[in-house]
Amino acid sequence: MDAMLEATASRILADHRDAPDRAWSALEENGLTRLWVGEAQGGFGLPLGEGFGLIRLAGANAAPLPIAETLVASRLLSEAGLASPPGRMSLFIEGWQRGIPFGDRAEHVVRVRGRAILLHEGPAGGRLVAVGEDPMSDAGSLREKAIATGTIPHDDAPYLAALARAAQIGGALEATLDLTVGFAGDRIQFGRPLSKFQAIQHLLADMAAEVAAARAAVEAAVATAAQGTTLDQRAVAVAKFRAGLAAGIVCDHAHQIHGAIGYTEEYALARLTRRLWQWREDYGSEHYWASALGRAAPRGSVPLWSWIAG
Amino acid sequence: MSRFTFPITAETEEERSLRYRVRDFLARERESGGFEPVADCWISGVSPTFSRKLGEMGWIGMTWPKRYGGHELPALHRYVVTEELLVAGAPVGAHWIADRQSGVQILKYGTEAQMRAILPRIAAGECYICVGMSEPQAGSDLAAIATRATKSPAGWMLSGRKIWSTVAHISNYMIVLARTSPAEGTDRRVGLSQFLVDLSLPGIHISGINDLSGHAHFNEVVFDDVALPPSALLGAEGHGWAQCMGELAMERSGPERFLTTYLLLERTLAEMPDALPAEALGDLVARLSTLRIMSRAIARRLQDGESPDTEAALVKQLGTAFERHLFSVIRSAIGARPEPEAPAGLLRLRDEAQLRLPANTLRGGTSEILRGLIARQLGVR
Repeated sequence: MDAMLEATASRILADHRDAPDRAWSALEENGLTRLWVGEAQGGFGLPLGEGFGLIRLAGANAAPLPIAETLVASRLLSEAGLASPPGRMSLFIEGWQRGIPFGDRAEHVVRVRGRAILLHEGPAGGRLVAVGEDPMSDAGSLREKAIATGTIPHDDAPYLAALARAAQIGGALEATLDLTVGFAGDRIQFGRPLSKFQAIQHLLADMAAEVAAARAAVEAAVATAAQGTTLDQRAVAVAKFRAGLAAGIVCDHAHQIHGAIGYTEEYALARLTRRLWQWREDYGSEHYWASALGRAAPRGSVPLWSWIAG
Repeated sequence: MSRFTFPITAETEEERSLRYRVRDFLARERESGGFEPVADCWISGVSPTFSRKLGEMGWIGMTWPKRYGGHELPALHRYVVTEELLVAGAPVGAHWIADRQSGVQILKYGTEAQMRAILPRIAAGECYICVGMSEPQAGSDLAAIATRATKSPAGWMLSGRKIWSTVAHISNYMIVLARTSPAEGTDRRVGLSQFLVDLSLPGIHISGINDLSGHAHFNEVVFDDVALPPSALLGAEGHGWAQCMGELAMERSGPERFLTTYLLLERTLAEMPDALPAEALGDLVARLSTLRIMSRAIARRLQDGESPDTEAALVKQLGTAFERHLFSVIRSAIGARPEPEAPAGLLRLRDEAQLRLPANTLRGGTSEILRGLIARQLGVR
C-alpha cells in the first residue's frame, strides 16, 4: 500500500483507539474503506496486491470495525459491476462462515453464494456466541430480499476472504509479540524483569519465529496478486494455514508469559488473542487448508517436489 | 512493527530453466549409477568424483567473480541448485562447506594470492575446506576456545584442538578460530582471529569420530605447534568473532536446514501412497513452502550485500523443527500398521533418518543458542 495511505490509516486507528465510530468516519472520509473500488465509483482503485497493508494494520490495532469485510465486500461488488453503498459492510460467504461478523452494526451485508452476489440491507440480528470479541450475527436473520444482485466473474471470493483474515492475523501477531515483549520487560518477579529469564526469552524467540513465518507466507500470497489481478489459490492456502498455525502458538505463549493479567477482560492482550482465535477459524482453519493441500498434492504419480517447486 | 525482513521474490524464468537443467543432470547421474540418493546428503554423501562433475557443470562457486573461477551468477541461482541437490540426495558433502561458507570467507577476507590459489580449485570441485570452531571444552560457548596462535618470527605458531569438524579427513584446509590475544576483562570475544590452515602442514593430526550410527563423517583435529606463514591469517587480527558470526549466517540460512530429511517424505509417497492422511501431507507441504519463501528471501538479501544474521537463525530454528516434525509425521504414518507391512527399503530410510535426526538441532548452533540470538534481536537480552 502507498506509504502515505498507510501512515494515514495508522494515525487514524491509533488516534481513535477507544472511539471506533470516529475511527470509521475518519477512514471513510479518507476513502480508506473503498481502496479496491474503482476511482469512477469513488474509490482508490488500488490493485489487489496493495490493499492488504490496511487489513494488516486493522489486525495489529485490533480495531473493532469491519474493515476487512468492507474492503473485500466492496471489491466483490465492483467486480460484479455493482455500486458499493456507503457505510459499514459485512460479508457472508455461504458454506464458509457460521455467522455474519459485525452483522448487528453493518449498514449492508454482502452475501456470496458460489458466483452469485447479493446485497442486503443490514443490520442482521441474532447474536451468536463465538470465541472472538467482535459481534457475530446469525445468518438466518438475513431473510429479506436482496436490494441488488449480480455475478462475480471468478471463484476467488473465499480465497480473497481467507487471505484478508491471514493478513489480519499477521498484524495481530506482530502486535501480540510487541505487547508481550514490552510486558516481559516491565514486569518484575524474583527481583528482575521476566525478560531476563531464559525460559521467557525462549518463548519470546519461538513467538518471533512464528510471527516471521506467518508474515512471509502472507506476503508471498499477496505478491501473487500483485503480479496480476488474481490470487494464487495454493499460495493463499499456505498463507492461511501458516497464519492459523502461528496464531495458536503465539497466543499460547503470550498468555503464558502474561500470567493472570493477560486473562482479564480489561487488559489489552485478550483483545488480540480472542480475535486471533476467531480469525484462525474463519474461511477455513489451518486444518481445513492443510487437508485441501494434501488432497491436491500428488501421491507418488509424480514427485511431490515438482508440485512444490515447479 | 515488523522486526525481521524477508523480501518476497518470485522465481524467474532463468531460475526455472536452471532448475530443470539440474534436475536432468541429476536424473542422468542417478540412472548411470553416479550416485545412490541418501538422506542428510550434504554431510553423509561424500564423493570427490561427483563434486568435480558439479564443478564442471559450473554449479560450485556460482556467485563468485569469474577471475577466481566463479560464474558471477545471482545468489538465487545458487539457491535453486542447492535445493535440487538436496532433494535428490546427491553426494555433495565433500565441497558443500567450501562452497557455502569457506570460499565466501576467503573472498571477503583473503589475500589476492589466497583467492587466486584456492577459489578456482573450490569451484572446480577439487578443494575442500572444513570448519574449525568447536573444541572439546567450547561447544555452544564458542568464545571459550583455547586454541591459540602466537606470533613467531616466521609467522604464527598454532596449537590446540578442534572437534566435530565435518569432512576434515578429506579437506585441504580448515578455517580455524584461534585466540591471538587475551580477552579484555569479561569480553572474551575480543582477541580472536581466523586462520586459513593448510591441513598438510606438519604437526596436524586428524582422527575420525564415529557418530552414533557408526559413520565417521566428523573428526577431531589436533594442532601440535604448527608453524603457519603470515599469510595464513584470514582477515584482520582480532576480528575473528565478527567474521565467525558472518560465516555462521551463511551456514544457517540455506535449504539444507529443512531439506535434510525430505527424501523420506518423497519415498513414503512413492512406496506407501495412502499412508499419509491428507491433512498431514498438506501440513508438511505448507510448512515447507513457507520455509522456502523465507530461505529464498535470505538468499536474496545476501545477493543484495546485506547480513541477515538473525533471519538466518530464524530459518534454521524453524527449519530444523520442521525436520523433526516431518520425521514424526512419517513415522506415525508408517507405524500405524505392523512393521512387516511397510517396504523394507522405506523402513531402512526411516531408521537412517532417525539416527541422523538429533544432529539437525545441534550443528551450526543449537536451537537454544539460536533462541538466544533471536531474543537478543528482540531486545530482551
